[in-house]
Amino acid sequence: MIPASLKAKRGDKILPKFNELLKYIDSQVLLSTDSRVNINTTPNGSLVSMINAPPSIVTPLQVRLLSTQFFSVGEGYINGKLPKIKPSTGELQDIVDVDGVPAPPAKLPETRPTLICAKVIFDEFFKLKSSEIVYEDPIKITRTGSANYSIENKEITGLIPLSFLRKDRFIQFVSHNIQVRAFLHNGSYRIIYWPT
Amino acid sequence: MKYETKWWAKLLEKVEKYFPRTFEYKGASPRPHPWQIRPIWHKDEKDKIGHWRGIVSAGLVNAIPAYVTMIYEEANAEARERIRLAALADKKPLPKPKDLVKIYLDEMAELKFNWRKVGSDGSPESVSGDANSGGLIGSFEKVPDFFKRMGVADANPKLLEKPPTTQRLLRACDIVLHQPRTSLTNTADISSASIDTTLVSINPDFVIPADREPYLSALPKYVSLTSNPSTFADLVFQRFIDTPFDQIHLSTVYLLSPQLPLLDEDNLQGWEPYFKYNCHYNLVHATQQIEKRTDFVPLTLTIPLAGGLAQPSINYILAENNFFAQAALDFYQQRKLNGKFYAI
Repeated sequence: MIPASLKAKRGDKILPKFNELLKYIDSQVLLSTDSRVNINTTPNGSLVSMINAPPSIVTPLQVRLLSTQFFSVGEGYINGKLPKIKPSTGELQDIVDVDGVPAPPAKLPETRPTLICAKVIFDEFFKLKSSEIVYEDPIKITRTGSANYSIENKEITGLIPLSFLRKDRFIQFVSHNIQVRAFLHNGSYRIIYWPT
Repeated sequence: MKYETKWWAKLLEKVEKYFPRTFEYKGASPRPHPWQIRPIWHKDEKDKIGHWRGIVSAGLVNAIPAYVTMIYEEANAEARERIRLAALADKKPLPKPKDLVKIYLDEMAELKFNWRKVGSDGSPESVSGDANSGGLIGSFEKVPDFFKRMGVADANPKLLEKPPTTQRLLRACDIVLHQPRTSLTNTADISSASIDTTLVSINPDFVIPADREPYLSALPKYVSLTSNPSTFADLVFQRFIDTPFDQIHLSTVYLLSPQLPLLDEDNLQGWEPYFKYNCHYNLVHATQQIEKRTDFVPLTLTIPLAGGLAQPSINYILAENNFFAQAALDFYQQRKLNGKFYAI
């Protein structure tokens, strides 16, 4: 409520009153507006709420368990493109369709623990050719950023782990869309990835 | 210019409309972030006093959950079953109840806290003497302002004086993540090859840890390790020891006592835990690849031999040594193996 002292009476000078009003407005500024502050203006006034959590509730490339044998991957991008997944029934396709509906479920391996990864393939000019969702035994994942070079087709292949599964619950590793690059260092091919 | 009261009233009405009517605060999401700690008070029949532990939400390093070392019989049933099946598969004996085993964070591992005292009853980090007054000056960890407002007093740096009065006591414990990695070792032998020649043999080697899984530990105080050799002499004379792991300080757990006096200061039941997190994300660990070449300081020997005329000859003799020393330093500098953590 506006304080009664700010109400004007006949004969009041406007400039001091206006300065008082400005001071009052300044004193009422509660917080700076950032993405965590939600302001809903209604005819009855503004409703301000502050959320101590990220505004987005969707984790890119989130791996979800469907029953005990199948999984799907939510919408997310690697170098701005949707990775592909091979459903248990069907051909290789994008992880989600144009409406954001996930592809049919893909089959999980029976061995545990397992890692769901994005296999990224670069051409000889270090341009990303494709990315595909695969699974791998965690102990087979070598050093972070390791990549293999194929002499036959001149491709550089690396793995980006997305989610870990020990028994019946995925623990999501990647929580952002990601950028990935391949490079040659000291005679060996490597990849580096970072969140966007 | 004159204004009408009704205009002013209209302006106030407008201002009121756009001011907040209510203010709501919604707490953090119930979904915990990686490395978030849930404290529990643990007491069993053998442990007469009891102690604090933390269940740490699963945090991943390179998509692998970190583990905690626990006593086998204290692990939860699911983890014990995993260990039993692994022992059967490897044809190894089952651990004994008191054996230490690896329990992963996603298996509800419990981390036992180890406390240090902060504030008026804390121990000094270093002590120096004051020659003028004859007193002893201690350097203490500062109490965070948050706890000062709650009645915890800083320690008195003058050790021989009376400690300050405090309303509450404070304990702290640092949670540190370790990532094993390949490390560098060096063995230097100095032997006489002939009467006027000394042979220095430098044997650099790598130590590859058998277990490369990340693990958590609760340390009373986290001290950052610096493992970079600074000079060539550090390497040759083995003043440098590389650590076979990288570490990152994840969080600090504070434990605040009730109002003093306390019946038993060692009994921490009823104390209130607070957490200060430095990291809220899963991590990627990668070892360093591209290093900056550091400046090499050549070996020099200045002696007034032959009135300085011999100096060029001495420099000439040292030049070859400098060449090999530079090559050796380059070898080490290109193989600094300490890695970095970054969030993903």
